Amino acid sequence: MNNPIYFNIHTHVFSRYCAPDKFLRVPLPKTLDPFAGFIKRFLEGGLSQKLIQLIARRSGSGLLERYIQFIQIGTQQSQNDVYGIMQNAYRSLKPDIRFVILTMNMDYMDPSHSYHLNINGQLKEIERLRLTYPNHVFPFLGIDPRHLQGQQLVNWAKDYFDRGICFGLKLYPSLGFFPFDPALDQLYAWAEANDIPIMTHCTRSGVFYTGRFSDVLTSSSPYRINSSSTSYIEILERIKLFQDSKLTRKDTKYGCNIFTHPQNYIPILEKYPKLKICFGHFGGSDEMLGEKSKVMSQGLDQYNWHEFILSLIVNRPDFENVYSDISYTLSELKIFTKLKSYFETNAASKILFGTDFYMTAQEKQEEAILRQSLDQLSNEQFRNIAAVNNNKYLQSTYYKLI
Amino acid sequence: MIQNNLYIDSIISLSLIYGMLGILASLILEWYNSYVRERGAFLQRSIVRLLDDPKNYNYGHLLYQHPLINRMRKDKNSFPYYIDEKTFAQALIDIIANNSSEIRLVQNIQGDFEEDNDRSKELFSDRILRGINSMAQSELKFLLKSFADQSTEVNASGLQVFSVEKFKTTISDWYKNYMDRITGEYKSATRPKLLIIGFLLTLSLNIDSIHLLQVVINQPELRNSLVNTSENLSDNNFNELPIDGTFNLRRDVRSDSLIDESIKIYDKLNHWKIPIGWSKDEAPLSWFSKRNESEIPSKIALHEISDNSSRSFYLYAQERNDKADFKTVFIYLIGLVISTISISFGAPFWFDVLVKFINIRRAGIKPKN
Repeated sequence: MNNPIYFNIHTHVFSRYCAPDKFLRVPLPKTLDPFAGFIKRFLEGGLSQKLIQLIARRSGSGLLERYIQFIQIGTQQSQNDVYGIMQNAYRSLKPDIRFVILTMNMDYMDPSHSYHLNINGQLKEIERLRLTYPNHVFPFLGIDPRHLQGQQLVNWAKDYFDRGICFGLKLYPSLGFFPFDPALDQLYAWAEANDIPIMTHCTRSGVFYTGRFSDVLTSSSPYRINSSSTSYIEILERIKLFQDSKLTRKDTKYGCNIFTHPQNYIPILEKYPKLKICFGHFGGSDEMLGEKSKVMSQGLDQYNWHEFILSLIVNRPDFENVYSDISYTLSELKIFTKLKSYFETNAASKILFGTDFYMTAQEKQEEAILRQSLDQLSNEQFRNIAAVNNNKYLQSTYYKLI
Repeated sequence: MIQNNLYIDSIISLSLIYGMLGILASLILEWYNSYVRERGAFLQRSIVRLLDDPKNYNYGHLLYQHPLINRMRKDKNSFPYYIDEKTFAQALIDIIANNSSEIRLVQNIQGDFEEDNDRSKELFSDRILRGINSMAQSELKFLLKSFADQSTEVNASGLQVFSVEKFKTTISDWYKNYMDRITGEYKSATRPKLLIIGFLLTLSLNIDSIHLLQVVINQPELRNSLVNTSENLSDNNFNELPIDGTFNLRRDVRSDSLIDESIKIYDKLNHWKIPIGWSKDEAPLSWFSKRNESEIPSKIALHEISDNSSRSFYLYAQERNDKADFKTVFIYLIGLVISTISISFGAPFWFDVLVKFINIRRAGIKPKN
């Protein structure tokens, strides 16, 4: 590749209006549930915005500055504004980089009524962004089986692909659904047939369903794709364990791991072995570094998700299109030693570069993360993960590398 | 004839003072709201609520991304304080029309993406109708469809045609009515803030209502002058005062004009010699300042005051300013509380009271001719 085309495969630009009114139930303690809407509105209010701007001007990377910068980005008025901030961070180091923008369907993550911009509205904004930056913005379509099902879902998605708006699918199961939900069956078949890349959130932390856990985990034996798969024995045992644990709203954060678990994808991959799927975040930095105590504080199951994903990539040649990205995880400097060791294995061609902007603003500034990656990796290593692998992953009926 | 009735004149005088202070509080509150961009945010929330359509999109959020509205933002963290009905209608119609016009990009042989311009050209009016029809069934669709039906006219050839101009006017009228209702909501929402501003104003200008009442009752010149001013203002329908303009969401407000208007109101109060403000000779500062015997007004011989009411007012003033005992302090604090609450009622309330009492005062006056 003479002129490598670099991609950041994992970014978000959703603004405050794309998130439900009670979105702050995610980071706030349960006792503040009733005030989540009020706090969000307060943070978006003029007085808070003035204060945020004042503090954000302070240089530094302390906890306060980082959180304020995160809030500042997250409370922008439009996705275009958030994109502007991200683009700015790459101006000096990688000005030509292209961005995969992951839209999120957050319409079902909270049971209360909300005035947010639903997924269709979010995509309407994204269409304009794509039109403005046709060679730099590559959106993925946020999928939720509670929105549309079966062929209806395929038709809805196909329209965005046919019109050159979207290039992949984004799943975020911890918002309250299993990836093996039969409503997604036809979508997977269509995605496999067209080499369409799927990005899925696969770490124990992140955003989760903010209502009662029992609302989304209604049965210990949910309807499922490829129900005869032997993997379900363990999956269903885990579901039963979670259900018997009588998790309350306070524990939903951990409970939603049941939806995100990488093992949930085995029956899907057994049915659609050529499905192109990227497990986001490589299981998370805690699991990558084997920090078991941190891992166990976040879930009920014993699996190390990072090792599980790695073994899928390395030991399952039948699943030839399984990838993982290092987004968010790469903000932790210590992971680079381990990451570089994978470049000597057959996992090298399956690791993708992404940052998870602007979630990472809680850890480091985007420019610092990019600089750290460029410092830690050789030019060739960076080119392989950010250009070669990313391009290979993105290629489909709807995107050709010419 | 009830002219020169002490009680009515005192009520009119106090109403004028509270009305003016109410205006001052409203102006300060509007300035604050404009500084923290609360007004724009309130308008945005109201429009988002109006155009919420979960079955389709929240058209309110999309409206704010429309270049007509987006370009009205002072900076990227603010919302326009005011959106006129024509701009609203134009932007909304554009969004509805764009519902049906799809953006399409294709990859060229170099691998770059470009907009596919082969889309068939369609009349704007047809695009609007197609945009409405393409919406999923919802309350908003029902409303827009009904507006579109009302905007159909019969042309010269006897055919029914959809008039974009009429549709725009119908949407403008709908928005105008909604804004009138929202202005009321905005006033209610600002009421608690007005109480806080009223309290701060009371403290900063040392407004003791009980003292105000005493002065108005006991100083006929001041009372007569305030009543005359009230009558003049009322006869001119308070034209020179921004009584209800500040909280009107259909009126643009600039922070520099708010400051100018506040200064004018304060100057007026000063000019009328209203007993407010801080002085070391007046409570509560007089309680702490050590003055020479000769400076204390109480040392003036009482026999020099012939009139009984002046004597009692003199004794009241002496007690208020020179004795910092529990009773005086308590009465002073009650005075502050009354001022705070009275100011928070707002100027329109007090000017209504004023007009009613002027009418009572004038009852029975024979017409000049």
